[in-house]
Amino acid sequence: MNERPIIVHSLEDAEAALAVAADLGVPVTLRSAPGAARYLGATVFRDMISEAAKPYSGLSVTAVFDCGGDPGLALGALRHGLKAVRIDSAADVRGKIADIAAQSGARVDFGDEDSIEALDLLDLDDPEAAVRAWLREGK
Amino acid sequence: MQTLDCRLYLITPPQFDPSVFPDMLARALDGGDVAALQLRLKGAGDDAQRRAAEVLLPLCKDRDVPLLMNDRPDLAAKTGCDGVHIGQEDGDYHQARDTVGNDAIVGVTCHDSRHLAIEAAAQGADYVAFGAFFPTSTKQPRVRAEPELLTWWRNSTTVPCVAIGGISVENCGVLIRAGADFLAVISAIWSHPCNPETAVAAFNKEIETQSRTTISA
Repeated sequence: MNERPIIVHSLEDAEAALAVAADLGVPVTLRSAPGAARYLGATVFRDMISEAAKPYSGLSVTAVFDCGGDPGLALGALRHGLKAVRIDSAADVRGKIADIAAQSGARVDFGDEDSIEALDLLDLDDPEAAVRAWLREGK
Repeated sequence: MQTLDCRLYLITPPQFDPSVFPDMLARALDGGDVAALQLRLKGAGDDAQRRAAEVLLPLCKDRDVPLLMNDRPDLAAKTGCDGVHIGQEDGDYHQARDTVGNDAIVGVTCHDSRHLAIEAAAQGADYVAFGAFFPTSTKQPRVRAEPELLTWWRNSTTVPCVAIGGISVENCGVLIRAGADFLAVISAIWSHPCNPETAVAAFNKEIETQSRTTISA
């Protein structure tokens, strides 16, 4: 997994990130905005990433859907086929969610990787240039 | 004695599920005072923007919160939005005004430019927007505005100004004290660790605190 995640807010953002990753030939991790599951349905996020990834069948893309502090949203996202979700949950529910995720081959991040900086594409004038610099720094 | 009457100006997430977001928005608007909502969907087609406006308008009207469409005066007029916010690359003020009419709100992005703001105000803009005041990500914004610009504007004109760019509860105090009439916020509301209504309430509390401190100073 590329440890320089990119936060995408829209199809345009995802397309910009994947175009650059494909051009550089590097795997890429896309994350939704923190807590985006509250307003961006799981299927919308899933379809957005799928649409953006269509031209790049060989590209390794990890898409992480941020569910904030709501385990219910995380479980819903897993039911909708998302393969990676992020949740800030209490320790007592972590194991249960991780088990459920593992049954469908999915992964759960619990925010422990928050020390890893992410590139947020919100309102950037030139997202492709920012992604290029970001991913090159991580190579 | 100087009075500060800063208010919150929400901007929608760049993409949202219209079957999910309205409930969240309703709760956010019920969390405290909100002066306006801007519908800003990134890269969305006309149909998606029209549908979004249709689902958000009733919520906004019920709460007397004007809904402004970003960039598209034509869609603002067609959907019955209360106004439009235009950037420097999105057509000119007169074109927007002609499209939405004299009763609608027209706001103009002015980045960090006094010249653009004076021009917009002279033309009749209902507000001007300055920013970005803070980085919105790990990268610095192309244009960085300083809080002093808000003070200068407030002392120069009666046209309200909106501060935008990376604003959070933690960093908004300097903008309130500098004289921002409105704080435009996105992530600090929709990505708040608890929920948007908590974020709206926290912003209002901070506005009240800062205003009280500044007025009594």
